[in-house]
Amino acid sequence: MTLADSITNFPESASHDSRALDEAAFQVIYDRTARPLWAYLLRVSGQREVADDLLQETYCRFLSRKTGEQTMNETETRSYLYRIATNLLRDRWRSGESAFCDDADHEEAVEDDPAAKIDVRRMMQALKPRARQLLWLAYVEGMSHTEIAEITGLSAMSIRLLLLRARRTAAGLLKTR
Amino acid sequence: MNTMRCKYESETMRALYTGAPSNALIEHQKNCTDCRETVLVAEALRQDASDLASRNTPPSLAVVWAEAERHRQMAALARATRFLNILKIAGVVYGVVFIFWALYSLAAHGLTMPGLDVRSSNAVIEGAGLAMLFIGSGLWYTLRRDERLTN
Repeated sequence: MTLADSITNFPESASHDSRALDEAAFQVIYDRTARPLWAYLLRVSGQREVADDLLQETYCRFLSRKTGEQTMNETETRSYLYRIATNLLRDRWRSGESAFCDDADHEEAVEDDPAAKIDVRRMMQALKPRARQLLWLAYVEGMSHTEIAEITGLSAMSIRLLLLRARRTAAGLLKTR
Repeated sequence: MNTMRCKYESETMRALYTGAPSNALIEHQKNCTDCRETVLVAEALRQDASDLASRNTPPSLAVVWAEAERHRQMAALARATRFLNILKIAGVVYGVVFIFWALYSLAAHGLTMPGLDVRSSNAVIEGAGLAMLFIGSGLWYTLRRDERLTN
């Protein structure tokens, strides 16, 4: 079953059989999207517990969307999930929780290049949450300015400027290692 | 700050994904600070993302599905009890209106209490009614708050 099929065949129903189908369809979506989405939440929030919570909440909201919103292709689904996750992150910051508490326990021991890895984490820690989001969406997820604008609710022009600033700050931090 | 974006930046990003930069692009990157920064930051972040993905696992599907089911059930319960909540609010409104109507009726019929004239009796009844209203609303708020805290 492709991701597009899963999304198209995703009717809400109370019957047990169709629920089983729902879960199978959801599994395809989850397998393809959960890992990158979780990495995004983890790097932007900096806390594993927060990333876990928000990932669950993101999929709960995704599953409880209205029937009329169910016809989505793969790109739209991905974009929709990132939009929910981004809104949830923003809600967390607004509710006064720490924006980035570096959670050293959330990662296993580093095998390859510990110095480089620590530098990326420190670089992210030094950036503002918005900058972290933009850098991750642009450079890891490869999203265009228009896609990022849809996800974050900012204008494409603002994204361009904010991303340029974030990239320069990030590059400056990486160069000083 | 110069906010002009290098026209090769998109091409640089594409090359990072495909892993095949053209010779012209490599030459350009040597002289373009923007593109060099893009490569530096993008490579560092993508390496980090790759490390994260290989070393950590997100919550299992079963956990997320169970949580989603719980949300669905709570939403269904909220929908089912919506009518009861409307009835509760209507009951409170009815109670308040009834108290005021009763006070008005008693005052209109000139009910007197032993040792008091009509005006004093009305004032006592109104005071008692308002006290009951305030105590009732205070209790209701306190019980609701307790209910929220225990949930």
